[in-house]
Amino acid sequence: MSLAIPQGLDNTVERPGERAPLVLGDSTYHTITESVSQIAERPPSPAWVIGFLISATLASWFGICIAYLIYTGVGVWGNMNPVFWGWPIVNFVFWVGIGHAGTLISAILYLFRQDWRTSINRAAEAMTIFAVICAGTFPGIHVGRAWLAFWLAPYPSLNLWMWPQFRSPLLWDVFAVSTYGTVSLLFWYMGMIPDLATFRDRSKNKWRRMAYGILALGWTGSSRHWMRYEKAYALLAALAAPLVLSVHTIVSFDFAVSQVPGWHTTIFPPYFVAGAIFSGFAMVLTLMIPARSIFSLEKLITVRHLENMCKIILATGTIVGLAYGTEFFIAWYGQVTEEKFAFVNRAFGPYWWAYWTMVTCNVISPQLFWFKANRTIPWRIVVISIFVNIGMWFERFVIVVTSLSRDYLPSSWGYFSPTWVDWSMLVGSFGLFFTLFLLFCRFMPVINMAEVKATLAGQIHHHHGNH
Amino acid sequence: MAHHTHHPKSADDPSFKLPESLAALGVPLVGIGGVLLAIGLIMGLLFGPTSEVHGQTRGPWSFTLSAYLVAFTFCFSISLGCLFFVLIQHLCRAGWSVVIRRVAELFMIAIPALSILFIPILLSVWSDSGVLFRWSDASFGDHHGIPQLVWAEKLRYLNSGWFTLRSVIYLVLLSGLAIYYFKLSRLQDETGALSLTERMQARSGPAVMVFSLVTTFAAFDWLMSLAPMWFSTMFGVYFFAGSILAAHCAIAATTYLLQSRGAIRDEVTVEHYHDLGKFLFGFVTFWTYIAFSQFMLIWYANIPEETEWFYTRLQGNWQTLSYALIFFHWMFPFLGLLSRHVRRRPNLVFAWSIYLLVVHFVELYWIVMPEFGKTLGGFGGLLAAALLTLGMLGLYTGGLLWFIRCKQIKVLAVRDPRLPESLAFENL
Repeated sequence: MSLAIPQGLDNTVERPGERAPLVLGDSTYHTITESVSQIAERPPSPAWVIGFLISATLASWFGICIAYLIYTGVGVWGNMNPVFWGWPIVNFVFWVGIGHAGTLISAILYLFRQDWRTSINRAAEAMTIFAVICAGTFPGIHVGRAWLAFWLAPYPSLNLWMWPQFRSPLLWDVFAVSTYGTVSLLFWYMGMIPDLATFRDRSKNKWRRMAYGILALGWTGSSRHWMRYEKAYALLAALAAPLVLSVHTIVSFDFAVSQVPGWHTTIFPPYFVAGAIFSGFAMVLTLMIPARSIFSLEKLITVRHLENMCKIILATGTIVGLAYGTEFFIAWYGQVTEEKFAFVNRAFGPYWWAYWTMVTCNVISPQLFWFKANRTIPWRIVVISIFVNIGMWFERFVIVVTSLSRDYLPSSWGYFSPTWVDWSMLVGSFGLFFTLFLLFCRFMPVINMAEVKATLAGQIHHHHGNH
Repeated sequence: MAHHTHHPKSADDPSFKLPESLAALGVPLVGIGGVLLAIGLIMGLLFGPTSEVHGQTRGPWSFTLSAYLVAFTFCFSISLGCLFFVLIQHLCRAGWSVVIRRVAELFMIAIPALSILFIPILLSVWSDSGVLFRWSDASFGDHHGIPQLVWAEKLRYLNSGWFTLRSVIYLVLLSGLAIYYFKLSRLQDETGALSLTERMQARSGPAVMVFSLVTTFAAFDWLMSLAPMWFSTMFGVYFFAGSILAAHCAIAATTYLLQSRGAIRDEVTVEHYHDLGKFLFGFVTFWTYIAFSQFMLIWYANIPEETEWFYTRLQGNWQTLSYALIFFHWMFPFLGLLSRHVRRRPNLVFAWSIYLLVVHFVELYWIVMPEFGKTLGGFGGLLAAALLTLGMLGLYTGGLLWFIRCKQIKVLAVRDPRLPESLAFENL
């Protein structure tokens, strides 16, 4: 079963007419199962424990801040007149964006038959779900009286005798994000069933066997199971593909349907989607590269996988750059005074530092990926990815804060400053995200073993077919 | 994952040549096209309508030139989309599409020739009369009550000299890309060198960047500036969405025609039509997404500066056409291409491609002509517009067929290193 691929083979080189292998080394079905399962079966490494303790502390701090906010009121944030949407909405849009890589990889790359997705889809999908959890928290607490957030649900309430305002894009968000979260969760869970059954079958302890047994839904691996599984997977992929675009499109509508200069521009939907994919892939790389090295998964998550993701970051980052340029050009071409002012104010007004941080991180830093060395040396990828993440947070900051702080009425202009609660919640949301991700690494199959084996099988078949 | 090893036929196989029955059509099509174009021009000038926009009368010359712009853009958008198709295949190192890539390359190589047909549009700008682009009449600002400062600023971008220079830059850059990729691909027909594929791949990234910039600004200049005061940041994407859809239609329809005349019968299979069908479905949806977003955002915010474009299109007969587009450009093809049973039948993929090309023409008419006036064109005008487009299409296709025959160009990239992969391609 082993495919003799020389150790240290550079699979980023692909001669035209041949396809480079995606599973490296002397991997067999057995070694794939072993290398993935041992992560959850062995006692946790010190690195994991330290990481978990730090993350969990931050996540707890996030929880304390939320309790403080609900107890005291939203005045503890820096939100003010006229910047009624401050960091909470910046963080919301940031986290929704992060949640775009997973379902793109598992749905859209599946429909395009990109086999390289098999090694990375599981962890990326997990990140999607955790990012959506972080994202959903912010508007939930931003409504002020968080205990009445259920009023957003469309039911003829006995208290109010009215329905939610369907003309408000904020309500569309409720539907868009919750649909996306639900479908992504289903997709992630369903894809995990065969691997959960593997975990169940390998369990040496009764409780563990029972827990994975329940999650595996009685999977036996019969051909009938596989047939249904494949069909359901394809259907979910087709359903999830438009969702990848719709969520951030609707988030962009939050801004673009308004009349605020700098928010209302028609390119927002595709530009937000590109930006979301851009930041999502950057986050996947930021976490996947350390994880791959800590858990010794280099043969499965190869340099080729990393390089492909870098190329997607380069492409989407350049699309985002084109959108920035187009906005600027049309603000001048349109000759609408307020619009022109909004853009000049972004670049040269009191928030110039945020604007140029955004441009440097989002437009310039991904251009480093034109050079192969930057796409193939893992630590460089991590550095550039972190820059991209910083840039994408600043992009939302620039959009939300600069436009609001100086709108049509100069008499109401103001300058937004975050409070310690704003800072704590931003850092705390990262704590929540990392905590969930570390728990996932510890207890769930981090790589889709079943699909990677199928990729390996195709590789072997192809290899022999050529001789 | 079942990969059979498919060995390509010999590169000199007669089924890789343009079928004689099609090649013989080249010169007649050019002749007929030229005649139709001339009749269309005369009819437009004689029977074209006049209209009144803000107290300014626009006559048959304006109508005819607008219709000419529709005809030109129709052909050009197909070639433009095909150029993008070729670039993106190289950028993604695609294997499945090799058997149909040459068809796209053939449409793409028409860009230099099509550029010549842009000359009348450039000349119209230099007449300084606002005959086609109303901004070329410097008094436009006064007639429309636009503040002088604003209008003076607009004229810094929208003026004959700068417009001409930009158009020439666009056409030169696109022609350059087309010629470069065509030459290398044909060279590979002779040598089969892998290095050619590597070169095409390596340059496809920057090429796509150039393409995106040019397409965005060409859409702004050639179509959006017909309404001089209107602006939409999405417009470049919107024009691209229509073009890439039209390109896939043209590739599918042409491949089908070639096969029906005996060429590349063993190479292009139902699997390739299936994929083309998926792309048709996908780009119909993408177009709808872009068109809807553009409309909805402008409608919802209802800011006077930018509602003008849709307001014009929601008056009188244009309103009917606007609503019709929802059904014809989205709903019918969406439902029609939803099923894989349709997408796996080459004759149905062919039929939907022709249908979508017609709708693409109607959409371009809807983009350009409302800027002429409230009338759809009347019988004489519509006939003139149809003749102009058919004439242009005759020149376009006839010229291509003639070119392929003279240069003995094969209709398949016969020595592409990924040809075996494309031959073996199967949808799972």
